[in-house]
Amino acid sequence: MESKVGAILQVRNLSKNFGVTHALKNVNFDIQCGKICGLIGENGSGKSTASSIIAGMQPATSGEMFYKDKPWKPSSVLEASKAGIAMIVQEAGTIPTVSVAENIFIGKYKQFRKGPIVDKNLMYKEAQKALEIIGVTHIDPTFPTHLYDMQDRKLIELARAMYDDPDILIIDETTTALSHYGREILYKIMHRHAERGKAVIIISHDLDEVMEHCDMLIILRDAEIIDVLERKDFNPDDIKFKMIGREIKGSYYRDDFDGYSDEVVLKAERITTMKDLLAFDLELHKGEILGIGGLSDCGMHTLGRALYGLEDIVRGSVKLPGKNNISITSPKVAFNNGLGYVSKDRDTESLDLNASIFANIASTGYKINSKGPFISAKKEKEYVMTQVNNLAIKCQNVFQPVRNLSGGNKQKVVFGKWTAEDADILILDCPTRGVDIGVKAAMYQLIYQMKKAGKSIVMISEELQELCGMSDRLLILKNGKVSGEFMRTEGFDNTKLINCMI
Amino acid sequence: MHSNNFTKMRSMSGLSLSDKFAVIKNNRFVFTALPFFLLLVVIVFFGATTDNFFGATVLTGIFNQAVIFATLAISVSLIYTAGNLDISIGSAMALCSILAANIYISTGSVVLMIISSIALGIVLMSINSTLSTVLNVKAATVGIVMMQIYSAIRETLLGNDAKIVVSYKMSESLESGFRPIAFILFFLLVFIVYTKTPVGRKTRFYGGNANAAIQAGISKVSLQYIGFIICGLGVGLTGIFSLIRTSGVTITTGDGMGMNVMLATVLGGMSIFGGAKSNSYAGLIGALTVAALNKGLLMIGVSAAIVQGVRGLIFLLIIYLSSERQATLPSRQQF
Amino acid sequence: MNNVAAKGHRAFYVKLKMLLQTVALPIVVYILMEILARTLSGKGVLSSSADVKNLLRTLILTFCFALALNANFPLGRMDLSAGAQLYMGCIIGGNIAIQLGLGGTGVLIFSMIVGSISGMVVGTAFVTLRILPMVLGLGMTLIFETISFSAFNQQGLMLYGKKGMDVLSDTGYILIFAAIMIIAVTYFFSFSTFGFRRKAIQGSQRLASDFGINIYWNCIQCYLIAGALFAASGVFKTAYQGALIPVLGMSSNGAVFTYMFPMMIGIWVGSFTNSPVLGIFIGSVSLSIFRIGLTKIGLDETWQSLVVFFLWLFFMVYRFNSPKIAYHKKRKARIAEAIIAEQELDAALAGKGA
Repeated sequence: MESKVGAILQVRNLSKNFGVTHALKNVNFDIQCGKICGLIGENGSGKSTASSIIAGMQPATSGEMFYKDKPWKPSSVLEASKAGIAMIVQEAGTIPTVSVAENIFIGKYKQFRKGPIVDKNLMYKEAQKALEIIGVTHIDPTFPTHLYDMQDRKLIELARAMYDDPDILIIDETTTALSHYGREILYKIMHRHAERGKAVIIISHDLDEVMEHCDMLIILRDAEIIDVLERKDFNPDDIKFKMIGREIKGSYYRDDFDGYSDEVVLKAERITTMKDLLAFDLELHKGEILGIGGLSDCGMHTLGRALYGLEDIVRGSVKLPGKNNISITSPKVAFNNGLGYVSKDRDTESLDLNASIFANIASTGYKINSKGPFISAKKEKEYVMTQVNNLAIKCQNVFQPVRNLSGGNKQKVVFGKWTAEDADILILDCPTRGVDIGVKAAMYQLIYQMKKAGKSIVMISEELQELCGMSDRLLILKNGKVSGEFMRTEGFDNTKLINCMI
Repeated sequence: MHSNNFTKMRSMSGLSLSDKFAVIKNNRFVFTALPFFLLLVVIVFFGATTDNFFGATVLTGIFNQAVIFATLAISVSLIYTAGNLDISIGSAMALCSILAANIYISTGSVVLMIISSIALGIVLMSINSTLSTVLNVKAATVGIVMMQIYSAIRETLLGNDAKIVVSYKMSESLESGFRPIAFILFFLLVFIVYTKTPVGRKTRFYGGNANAAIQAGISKVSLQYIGFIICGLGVGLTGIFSLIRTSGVTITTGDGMGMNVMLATVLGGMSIFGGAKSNSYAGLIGALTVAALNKGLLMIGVSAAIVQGVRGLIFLLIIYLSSERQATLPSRQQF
Repeated sequence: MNNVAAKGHRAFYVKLKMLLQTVALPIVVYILMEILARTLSGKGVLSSSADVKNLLRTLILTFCFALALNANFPLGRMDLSAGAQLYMGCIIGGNIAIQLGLGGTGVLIFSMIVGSISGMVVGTAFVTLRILPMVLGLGMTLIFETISFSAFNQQGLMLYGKKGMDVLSDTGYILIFAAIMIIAVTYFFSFSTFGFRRKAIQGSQRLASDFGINIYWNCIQCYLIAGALFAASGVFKTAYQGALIPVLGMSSNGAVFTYMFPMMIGIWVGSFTNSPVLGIFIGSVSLSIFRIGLTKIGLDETWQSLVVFFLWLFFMVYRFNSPKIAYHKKRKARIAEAIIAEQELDAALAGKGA
């Protein structure tokens, strides 16, 4: 077999820099026809960067690629897809306001022209076919796309990609948005595509997934390729070690069993939100790190928002037993009573990207830094500078707009807002999302220090590992309900946790 | 991570020279200084090309022309900063003038005239604010609708005469003493509120990212009312300024004012869509620049119509130079 | 088979319902105004052929302008230079046509050509400079007003008493022109590749461009169509008033705000049948009937405006708050769900206790 199918794509010395950060350093690999190739690595390891360069989303800084033995330097997604490289991306790739068919044939409306008029019925028919190719029959191509959920929209994207029968199919961390049903469809298509002699690249950080489905694995870490493995050499411990590059030691997460006080500081009493949560109960104790995990649509993000007063709680209430049982009805009440919230959508919800580091951190301290009706410039400066120094935020100066900082530094600014304000209860929704390993370690340290200082923390995360590493108590949510509660003192068992999730 | 890289790529697409330009442009000192520099250039240019540009009459003329737009622009600065627009301020100002004129004619009291104008300004702007905070209509939409309602009321009130005239003597007496003092006091008030109190900072942060501001415990409603009430104060004051400038009110008083204020603000180096780079004085600088440009061009013999075109060209050029060119087309859903 | 037939039946009723919802507005407005006019002034809304003519004249200029605004508005581009494009088109195009000795149709066509060129200039400036559309509109207004003011000895456009201009106020002519516009613009927006691309761009510029749609050219096309329609509106307006007097000082863009109301009603009505063009036509008809009705009641123009703008305000309040009503319904249902869930929880707890 090996000799018959050559490398359809060769990547040579590929590098990508964003300013001073290296997203990809001199990477070399081959993609073979008839194989499913996994690109695996932690967040920020460069796997998405590599695939997006192949698919024409961004140019490389240096290096070459050869596709079908010819130099390959796509300038756009369109060029790549015309040449036979299709990519399904992590973020939304469909337009909600137009019909499913129009999404499948976006940019190709001309082919349905009869005279000067675009023949919608013809397009619907073809769209139906495209959906049937991937074995989906429950989606009506005439309907507007916003009627379908995330999973169905991903399937629509898949139908769009497969309609052209691409030579290389790239799937970028799509499975997190899919349920079991969606994943099965995707895996089936991947295998069928490979069997027909085409190449498939799947990008993931889910070890089990790639171990099960890939023929070969490329492991990336810190922008470099660590190893390329054939299926026969797959060994989970080995791969894990190579991905992370170090044993997960106590210093990375916390290694104590300190426990927490019995005092309840935050209490959700049978709260019901418009979506996800139904008569949900929760108690947070002083000095506790309460981990909340589950699949991304299990309701944990809604829970975080509800606790901070950002969701409409239609019944029940979130109360602060330590503060005269006051109920949190709005983020303002939450803020004024010592709560802090780190949103999972950092760029759209937690930061004003155009504003400076200074302005962002100062945003929580207007009251603290006031003297009478005026703001004390001195106090404010101290308020901000303490955080910038303590958190070691890398910047030219504090008046630099946040937008140009790296993900990790941005997140530090967000943390800085709340540590400066000295919030007693912190709700952290995916606090380490899009943050590199070094900063991650610092964040974990910080969270642990806060716990030790008697703060209470709700830590919501899609990464089970960090939840296990950090939580005193861990709740797993499924369909808006607690499906399992685990204690640090009893040790966390991955299998049990996962069983609760799915 | 992926999407991160993606956006980064977009903003860094044109490297090297343009990148350097961007860095310079984004430097906060350069950014702050640019509008002042522009004003200076205009002044120096006309100082050199005309005979008597620095003469007292010319400078007073420039101030007289600028003061109305400047006051309005200063008043509306907090509203813009929060990311709201309100183009009804011109028509609202006209209503203030009408009330003030009538009060003066019937009572003969200058004090009552001023107070009534300011009070009406505050009432009208509070109505606008209520419509957007309580009844949820977007502030920009409220402005568009209210502009027409206020203009229609203005026309109804002025009736067939189409104008009200007040005594020239009274106007003249207020022009030299009351006007500059009131203007300076008002500017100082807004400047202090804007830079020295939490209101300004909160508004700016809210304008930059409403979500983040709400999560930091900032309340939209109270901020917006403060912004609109300060604006109302300025609108009332401008009502007086406008009244004494022409010794009366006519059917066209206030027309196009909302637009001209936007123009002045943008020219003064601020986005009319608010956020981090907003300030309280952009409108003042812009209004002075426009007035100096108008005067200078007229002095070197350019006709009024052409002056306007030149202003448009300079305006577009400045905006182009000072705004960041996006990879996609800028758009903004208004309603 | 039965199922399919039932489905077909239902689809038919849904369509019928949508159609009724769409045409209901002008009918309701007409009946209302007819009753008001008859009781207050003793005369019907459309009591003479002159009334019908007036109605059509208001209608066509409203319709064209609102339709033009709609070309860019849903894509997040509010073009404040619309009024100035109108002046450009009419004053330059119209005067050229008159100097060439052409009649009303000539004036209309030439104005639309110059209007579309003006629109294209704005569109091209927009994709080149990439300034926010509203801000660009301000600048372009200043420039266009200067040009249209200075052109042709600052005389503007005079149609009154000129030969061959009668057609522009002819009932049949206006109706035919309106029909052509409805068909042409519906084709552009809903059936041409341009329209499909525009819809995709409206949904997501980035995705559309990633999949090979030229967002810049599409945008220029939008401005071009809009420019032609602004000018058409201007020609009918000029024919109605007799002359178009050139302006300075940004007073040209008052029209943008005036005609935003019919556009908004139009988009709202059009959402029932998914055809904004028809919606805007219906919206313009309703508003024109309303205006004529107010005249018949005896309100002068200022009072008419006041009534119309207050109506607009109520409309906006309704539009911004109607989702809240739906939300409250959903909320109630959710509370009911919560109560049941709580009862189950209580039952389970009681069971455990026992």
